[in-house]
Amino acid sequence: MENRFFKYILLAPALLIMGAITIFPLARSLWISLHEWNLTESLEIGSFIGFDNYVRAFSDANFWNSAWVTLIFTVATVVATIVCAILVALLLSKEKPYISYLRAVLIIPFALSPALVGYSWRFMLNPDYGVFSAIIGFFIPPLADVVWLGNAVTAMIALISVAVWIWLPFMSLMFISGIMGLPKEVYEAAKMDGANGFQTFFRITLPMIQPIVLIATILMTMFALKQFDPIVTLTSGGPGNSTEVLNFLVYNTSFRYFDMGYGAALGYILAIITVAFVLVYMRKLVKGDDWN
Amino acid sequence: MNTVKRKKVIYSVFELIGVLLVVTFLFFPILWILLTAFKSGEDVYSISVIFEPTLDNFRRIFSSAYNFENYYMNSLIVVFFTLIITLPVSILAAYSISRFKIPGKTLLMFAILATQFIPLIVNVIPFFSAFRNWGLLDTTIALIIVNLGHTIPYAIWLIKGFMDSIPKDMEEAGAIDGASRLRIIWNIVLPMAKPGIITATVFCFVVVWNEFMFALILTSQEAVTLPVALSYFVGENGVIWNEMAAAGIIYVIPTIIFMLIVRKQFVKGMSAGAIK
Repeated sequence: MENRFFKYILLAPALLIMGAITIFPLARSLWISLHEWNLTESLEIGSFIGFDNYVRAFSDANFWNSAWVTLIFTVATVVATIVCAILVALLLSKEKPYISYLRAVLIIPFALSPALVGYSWRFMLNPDYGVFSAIIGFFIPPLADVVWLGNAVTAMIALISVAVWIWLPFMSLMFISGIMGLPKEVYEAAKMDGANGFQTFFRITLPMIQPIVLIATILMTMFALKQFDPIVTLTSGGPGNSTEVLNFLVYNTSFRYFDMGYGAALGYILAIITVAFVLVYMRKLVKGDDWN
Repeated sequence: MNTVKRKKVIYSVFELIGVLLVVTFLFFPILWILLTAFKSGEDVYSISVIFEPTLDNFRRIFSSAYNFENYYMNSLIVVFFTLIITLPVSILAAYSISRFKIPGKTLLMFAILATQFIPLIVNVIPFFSAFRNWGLLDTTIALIIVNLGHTIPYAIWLIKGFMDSIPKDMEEAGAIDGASRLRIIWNIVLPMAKPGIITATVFCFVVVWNEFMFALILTSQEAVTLPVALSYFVGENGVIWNEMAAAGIIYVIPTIIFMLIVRKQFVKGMSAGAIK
């Protein structure tokens, strides 16, 4: 009585919706990227120009600026988040009551709206009445007069710390669940052999959580490349275009200057970079332990 | 013996300092926003923690000047309808993938996940012009449609991972009794998969509730949701931070509560899904 097609009927609504909402617009976007189309001039898609929009990107100073900004932001955010998350996980994977309470509330920053986080940090970094500025100035007096969001380097540092703040809890929890799941016997054996803390970490813990490090790196890179909300609300790409990551450049091109064709092409370039990266790392993950 | 003891003490002192640093870094900003929400217009510009708390900010954001409740309503509508569509569709798909032989199953699961790799701004470009032509710009319907592309893939992954761990025996017993497949799903699978479904629901809730980019691009006045509305707390002298903080606190309370409820399953689901 089991209908052969039943399983496909169950699957159909999800696939139809995803096709209509994700796959179709993606194809449509590719098509738009091959055309000239400024929405302020015409509601209809313009003339076919092949890959001109892509060629244009490579001679566009704004594109190279954004590519560079994206690279710095992504690498710094991923490295800082993963390293901090491992350190936090080492601290918080102990079986002590107050630490287990802390683990329970660790997810809270991750649940907050990234847009709100961006606004809040802008408030707290204000040179006149911001609490972060005051604290930094108190501990490091030479930095007391820094206008954090007013210059390219410090604005980037601020942006990276916001991104780390957002993702640290989630990444830490991933590492905590990994570290707490490791067999205790190995650690007891290491202790018997007189290994110190550093040796235990680099010889035992780190190699054993390697798959999680790899997954965390993939996820974190994806998130960093897609980061949008806190950038809009913290720096709006500024000062100048010093924090204008690619994602934000696509937004500005398409929805501030309404250059849809060029915007779509820039979006595709970002998508290709992301997918290429993920595929390279996925292969590593599937192949397994050739991490050296 | 003494040096070992001293070493232990030093170690635990460092450990305590480390934990305190982490707590400060992660929770101080939240505490500060919470305090700011209760500050009056003057106290906002001082970093003193001693001030007379007031509820004025909360009163003002719900006054006619802002219509904050409209934005709250918009957010609720978008979340509600997105979830109402996401859940049944994802549960059925997850069940199908979990229980039946489907050619190219691994590839399908990967493809579903891969839709989330792509920066979604690419998808908004065609949506913007389509919604404009259909007169759907600045409506909650537009937001519900685009959000589905986000929630369904995650929900399928989370629920499927959970269903894989449910034994098939009960269903087979049901099948022998002659119950139809849909009845089996409803009566047997759903109750057992409840934790997974709750996790997926909360996760999708948080994603949609916090969604900013689509709302920024596709709405302008009528259908504006909370994250975008936060930027409306601007007066003659710039941002009115205490009111924004009050709005922010009211905005984030639901996500914090829900996230705390499913915290454990959520992290397990995410990392297990990723490892497989």
